[in-house]
Amino acid sequence: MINKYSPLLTEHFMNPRNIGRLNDFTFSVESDHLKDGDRIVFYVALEDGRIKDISYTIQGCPRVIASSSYTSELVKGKKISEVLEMKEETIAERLGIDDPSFNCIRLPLSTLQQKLKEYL
Amino acid sequence: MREVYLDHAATTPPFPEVLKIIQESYTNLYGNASSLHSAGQKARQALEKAREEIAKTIGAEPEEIFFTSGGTESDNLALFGTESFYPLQPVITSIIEHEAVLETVNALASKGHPARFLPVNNEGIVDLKALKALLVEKPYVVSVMLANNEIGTIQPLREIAALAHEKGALVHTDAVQALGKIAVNVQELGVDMLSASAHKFYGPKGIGFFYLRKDVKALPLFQGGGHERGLRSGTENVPDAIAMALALKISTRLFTRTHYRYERWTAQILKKCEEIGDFRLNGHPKQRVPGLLSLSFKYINGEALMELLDMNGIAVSTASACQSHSAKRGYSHVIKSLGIDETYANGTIRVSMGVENTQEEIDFFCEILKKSVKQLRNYRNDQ
Repeated sequence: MINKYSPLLTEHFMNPRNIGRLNDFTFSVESDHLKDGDRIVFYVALEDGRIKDISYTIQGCPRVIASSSYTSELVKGKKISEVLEMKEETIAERLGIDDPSFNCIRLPLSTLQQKLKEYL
Repeated sequence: MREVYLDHAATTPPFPEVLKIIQESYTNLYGNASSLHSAGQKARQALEKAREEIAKTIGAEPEEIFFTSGGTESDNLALFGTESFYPLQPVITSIIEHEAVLETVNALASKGHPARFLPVNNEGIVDLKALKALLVEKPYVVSVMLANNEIGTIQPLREIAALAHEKGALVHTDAVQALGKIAVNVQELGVDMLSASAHKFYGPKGIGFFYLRKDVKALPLFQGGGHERGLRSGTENVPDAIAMALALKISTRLFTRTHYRYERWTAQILKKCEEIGDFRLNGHPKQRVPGLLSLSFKYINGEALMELLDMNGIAVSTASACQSHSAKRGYSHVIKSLGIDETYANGTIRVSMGVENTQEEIDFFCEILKKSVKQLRNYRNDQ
């Protein structure tokens, strides 16, 4: 089998981390940039200005599933201010997607950042 | 890892006999078919024999068959080759054609031929009432595919041809997905032009043919040495033409046997889909090419399903990739035209069987399909 994706992207697509719905969360946020029935809903529990816990439910392409999973791992335990400083490009780069037309790679972080600004 | 190829509507693995004859032809028939010496004439004779065999299979005369590079070139030749004889007259096609026809029609529109697109019903059958209404505009050509590449629906070509001819229009059919899968006879269909591509029926890639009824005038797409009776210049690809004729012969001979098998596997897959739940079979339930299934699963993304299957060694295609070619997004124009609810349309895959598939492979596919759909639906489940 020829894998067109990086091992990291494949791993997060096949075994997404933090998937599901948190029982106790501070806010939930849905991306409004997906279409045709695709969606991501993040559930975030905040405590003392940090992301104490995070989860999501998702319907989407392999890239958006993998990047949601990777992003969730990356932001968990981080301060809101630290998450706001994170770059979408870093995630794209680490997952091995350098084609800027794939917005789906950047979408999870930008969705979270937009909502987190309200909690600064 | 086991590899299960279920994407024969995209392309087929060449028959072993086809590979053998290509090698033999390149070894023994290397002469230029236009050369007058014996090496050339030997190639010429073999080429003409291939032409005769193809003509016989589709009910045409040998001089009505022209070798081309494949379906796209044949479609262009049909529509662009005839347009200059009918300045500014409209061109009619269906909205579910392959891009090789749709983009050619769009190009014709920019040359002043009004482009008219026939709608289809929710089973993917062209609306004949709409055709009758559009024929009043005196189009020069009506181009409707024989079998659709994404949903397998077979169009009522005979009726379409009869209606078009009544109004004096030419009839072209892109039969790329039909040849080698169902009986195709140009006399019975009543078409004036037909496009075919060898790699869809276990032949080599990069070769196809174009049928042009004797009394229909057409001009070449490009200029050169006047090969193929002036319609298609360029040194003839003798080995692949011979291989194409053989592939067509074998696949045509085989299809009654494979149909029986494909129908059994289709029933098995559909039963599995019933178990999975929330699915639909796209296209016409009966008027379809055997072995080609377009399946839509609610609440999943088709590309994700295709990738999960691929990671298990199963090759199918999806009608809903973000980026299958370049800037294409969302699900395909064919699936859109059927008016399917988007919660289903987005989760569409195409499964197309072939002669080398086995019962064991279909069992494996069914098992992995169920597992994969369940996995993806779990990702979405927020209860």
